[in-house]
Amino acid sequence: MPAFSAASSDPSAADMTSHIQKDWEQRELVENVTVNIKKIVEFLNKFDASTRYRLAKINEQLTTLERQMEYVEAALKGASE
Amino acid sequence: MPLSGYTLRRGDAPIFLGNPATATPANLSNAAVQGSLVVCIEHMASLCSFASHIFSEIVKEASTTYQRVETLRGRVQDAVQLLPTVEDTFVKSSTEVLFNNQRSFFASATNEGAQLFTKDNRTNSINQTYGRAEKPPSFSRVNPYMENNMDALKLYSNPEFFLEQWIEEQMRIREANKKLRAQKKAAKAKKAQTEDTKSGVVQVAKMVVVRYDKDTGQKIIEEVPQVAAHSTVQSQLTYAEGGKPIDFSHANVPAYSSPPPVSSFSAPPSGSTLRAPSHTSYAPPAVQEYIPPPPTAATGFPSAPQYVAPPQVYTPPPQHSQVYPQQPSQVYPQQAYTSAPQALAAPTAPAAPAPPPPPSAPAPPPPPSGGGGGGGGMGSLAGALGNVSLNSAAARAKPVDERSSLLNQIKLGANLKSAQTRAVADTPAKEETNSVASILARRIAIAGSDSESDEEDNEEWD
Repeated sequence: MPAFSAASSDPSAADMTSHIQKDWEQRELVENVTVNIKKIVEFLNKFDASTRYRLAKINEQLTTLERQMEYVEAALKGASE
Repeated sequence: MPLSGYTLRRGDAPIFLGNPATATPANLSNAAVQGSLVVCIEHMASLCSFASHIFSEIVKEASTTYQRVETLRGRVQDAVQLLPTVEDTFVKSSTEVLFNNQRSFFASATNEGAQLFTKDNRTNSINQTYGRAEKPPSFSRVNPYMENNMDALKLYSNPEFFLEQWIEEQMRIREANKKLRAQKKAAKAKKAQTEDTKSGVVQVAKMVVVRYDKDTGQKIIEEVPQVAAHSTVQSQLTYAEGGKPIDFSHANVPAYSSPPPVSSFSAPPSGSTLRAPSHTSYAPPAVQEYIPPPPTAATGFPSAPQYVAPPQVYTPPPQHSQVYPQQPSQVYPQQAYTSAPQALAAPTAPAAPAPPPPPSAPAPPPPPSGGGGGGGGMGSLAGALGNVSLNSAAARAKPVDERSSLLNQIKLGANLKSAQTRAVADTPAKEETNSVASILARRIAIAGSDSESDEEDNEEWD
């Protein structure tokens, strides 16, 4: 308390305190931006993995369907000839 | 605020490069905050680039998938348009034409590399990481000192490790499936052998005809499958019950006073001939050998009039009289019960001797005539014939003769006929196609070929 009272009485000390407080606020802003960037990156990674997994499943099913379709087409072709 | 005098490096704190004498705490604080903001902006730019890469790759892959879906949809629509034509073809074409149609050429156009992880389908992030990775050391210098010409680099890094693991796993699964199929096949063969043993099927070797060419003298071996099948069927019929030879000639003996025509027995239908072994072994003997049981308190049915009844009193169904020569009072008690009043109500029946006195209990049906017990049966038969005076006595004389000949044959034992006297080849082709033996032979051949083809199919597709 005596140091605080001394700083409040000294104008240079009060100026320093306001500068430190402002610096903390700015650092907090930067930290918030960084955290949000990390959240966005995490979301993008999850979205990428999930989308690729779903697309891979769809491609796998499409491959199966294409093979079955080839069989059906060959059977129809053989029957219609 | 200007950024002159500061240098920013990614991941590092801002460094003040200006004049230290003019540096104040406020300037230093502002410089640090500005540096942090610049790093954040740089991170956001990288993030934008990263997101752009991700979305562009996803869009590219999704567009490829969409194209595949659209292509598949078009193919499905084409196939649906072809369906009515194919249905008409199936309706109008006969089965022979459909089966004789040759299979059309098939070539798969599926892209098998769609799901593979190759250099071409690697993502940018993986390519960048791969580019930053260090190259493996040059182990190729050690290769001359390796055993079995093995690549030394594989001990350090083997990109085909997972592929080799997968191949080993597949080979293990294949071997296990192979063992399972062999066990199934052995169990199937054992089951078929057991069934053949139970049914008494005797495998007969195929007849082989060996002849020589007149001009060249070359040896020609020909198989005669039909004769072999015929002999198989004969042996099956002969050893059907307990391994004892069975003669079916006693089936001609009429069981009732109104015997069916002889022609029907000389050429019996195929179904009745097939049932003959099983029924003749349990069928009671002829009417003449049977001792009529008296009416008992338990049954209450007067059985005596059934045996003295004239032929017109009880007329069994013709198909039963042909196939099952048996007593109506024993096998069909309801028929015997219903026929009794008719016999009693027919006073104009020919005179018959009085029925024998009823014994205390109904006599069990006599056993089927065998080789050693035929003499007693003939004596009682002759006595019964001597006492009975029926109008159709002359008609019954023929069955008696056949029966006696049958017993004589049984007494003589089983004498196999010679192959020449059978004269299988002399029979007309029409009779062969209609005879029971040929039908059974064809059936056995068809059944055997079906099972073989099924096994082959299973082996192909398992």
